[in-house]
Amino acid sequence: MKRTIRLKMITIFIFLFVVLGTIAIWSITNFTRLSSAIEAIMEANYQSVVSAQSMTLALERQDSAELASMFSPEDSTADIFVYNQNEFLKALSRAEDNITEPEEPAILSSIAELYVDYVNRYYVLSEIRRESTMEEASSYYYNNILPLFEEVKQLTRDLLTVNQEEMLAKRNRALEVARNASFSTAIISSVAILLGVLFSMYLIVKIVRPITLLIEKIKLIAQGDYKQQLPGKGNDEIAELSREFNTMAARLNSYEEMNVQKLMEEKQKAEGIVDSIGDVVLVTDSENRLIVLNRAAEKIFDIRKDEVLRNHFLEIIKNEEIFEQVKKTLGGEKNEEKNYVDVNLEKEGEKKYFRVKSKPIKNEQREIIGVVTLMQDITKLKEVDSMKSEFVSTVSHEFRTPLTSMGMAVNLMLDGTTGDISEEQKELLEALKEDQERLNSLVSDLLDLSRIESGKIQMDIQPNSLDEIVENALRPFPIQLKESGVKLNIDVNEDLPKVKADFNKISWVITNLVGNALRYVPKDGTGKIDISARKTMNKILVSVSDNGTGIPEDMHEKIFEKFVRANDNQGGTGLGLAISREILLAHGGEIWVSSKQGMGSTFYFTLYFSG
Amino acid sequence: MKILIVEDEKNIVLSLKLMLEKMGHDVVCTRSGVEALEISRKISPDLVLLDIVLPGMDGFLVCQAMRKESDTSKTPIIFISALSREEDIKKALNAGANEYIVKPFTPEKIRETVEKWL
Repeated sequence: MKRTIRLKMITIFIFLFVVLGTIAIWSITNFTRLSSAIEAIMEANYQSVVSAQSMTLALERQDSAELASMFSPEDSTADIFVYNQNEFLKALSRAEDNITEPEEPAILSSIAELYVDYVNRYYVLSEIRRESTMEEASSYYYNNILPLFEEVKQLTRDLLTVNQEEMLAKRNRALEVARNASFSTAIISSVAILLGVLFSMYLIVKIVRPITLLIEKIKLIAQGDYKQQLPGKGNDEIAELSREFNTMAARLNSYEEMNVQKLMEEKQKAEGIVDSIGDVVLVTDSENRLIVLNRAAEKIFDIRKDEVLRNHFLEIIKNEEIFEQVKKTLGGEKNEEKNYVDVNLEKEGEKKYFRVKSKPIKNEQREIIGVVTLMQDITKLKEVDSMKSEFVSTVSHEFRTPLTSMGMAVNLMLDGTTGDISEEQKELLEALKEDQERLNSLVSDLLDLSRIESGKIQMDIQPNSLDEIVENALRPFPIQLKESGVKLNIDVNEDLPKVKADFNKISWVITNLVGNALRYVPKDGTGKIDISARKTMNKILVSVSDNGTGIPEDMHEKIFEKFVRANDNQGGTGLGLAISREILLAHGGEIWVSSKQGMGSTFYFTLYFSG
Repeated sequence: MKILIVEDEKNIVLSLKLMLEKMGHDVVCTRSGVEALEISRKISPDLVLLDIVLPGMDGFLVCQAMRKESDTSKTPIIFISALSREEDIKKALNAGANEYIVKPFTPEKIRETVEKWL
């Protein structure tokens, strides 16, 4: 059977009932003993006392009857005597039936013996009274009867005394019993109450202690310590609860361990990924302390991950340029010009170039809580780039001289300096001149582009009013517009804020866009070119749209690449848009196109405005 | 008028000489800087067309040297060069050039400029 809490409670109650019962039985026993002691008094001595008193009374009445009979011998006195003789004998026999004290038999036998004598002597006296004188009777009475009477009376008194004394003794004994009973009941009750309290306390503590322990452990588990185990011994409800609790805690623990293991695995995976990235990866928290860095970072900055994590960025990586980028990103500041910064680092005497890009890490509330900084090693790229620029520059330069002499020769022949030429010769020379000019612009564009790309051309970015730039940009076109019948519409408000721009470069971009548009619009008088500008959140959006042939969608990105033209037959070097894009990138702006084939094109570009 | 052409590209010299002679000028050509200085001292040209990239002494030095000579200190010196960077142009003007024509150029451009300075 299970030792359940219920059982424990029942045990407590049963124990208390047993104690109560014991006390009751003990009390009843005591009462019984007391009452039997009193009963004993009643039964053993009271009867004898009454008998002795009855005997004394009967004897005295007999004596009175005797005395009376001496003076007037009548039958009535004899009757009284006989009546009281019966009473005496009844009382005597009662006394004899109730012998309780050791002295009683002797007294009673003496009484019986003497009383027989006394009764006989009454009859002798009656005889004397009837046959002789009063004196003789009187003398007989005083000499023979009265002493005997006194003797019997004394004996009955003795009987009384014996019993009375015995009653007294028994009363004392009963009192003693009562006192003892009170005392023992008190002791037993005290002991029982004490035991009851102790036992109940013991059991209650035994019930409550595991519960208290359970509460403590559950508190610990609630705090995340799933390793807690309870002693699950015993077989009461608490023990069972403890075992179930242990099972639960163990499950939670293994679940937790599994989670921790999963997290560790994920962490290792993430670290592995970060490490495998060839570029330098640095992650900083909101206090600009390094929290993640990869092997590439360790190598470049000559640091050890374990030693530097949790330290401030500048303490470890003493590069203000990179830190500035991190700080800006953390501050939520978007770089206006470009979203990266190129830095060069000296590593073992070797110059290395890095493109540093930072991205904010945001929490669910969209607050920036850290920054991921990626440093791309662009040393090779820079080298190749500079080699390329050098090459392009040299090649273009080398092209110029022969192109000059070719142009000179063709022109001199065409303008008649060298004499007359036939119509056919002229046509051929015109073709030669056209291609020579095309090569000229190609070479000059190529040179421009290579210079911009290599950063050799410095942008002179100043606040400039856009309508002035547009005006300047449109200077080469009046004749061309008139000849082709194209309507040019300019919607550039003078109230627009000034743009941060290199006047000549942006002017060049617009010239180029308008020039492109002119190539593609219809020349039958329906051609239209619109230039407009409007203010957006933090930039000015400029658009140049035309109603020309449009650009197929798959070309929208490509046309900004070098030597890509939407239509091969329309001339142009294929470098204009590439140069435009380079110029805008250097301004921190963008350029893109929106177009549908047959529906015209709109080129957009953005510039920051000042103030 | 006497025009001195200092240019090492014979094809360009050919066209220039042809054109300028047709315009009625006397044209002397050389492809060396040092030689150019000797000729200029000898003939005191009325105008000089000067290339920058030359064997030996470059155009900048030739120009500076000519400016030091009393005969050619005021003579119009027009640079004709494939170098198109601003710094080259500035350098030429600092050396004493009157004008800078970037290659490739057209006969009209040369004609206009020469007429402007003579």
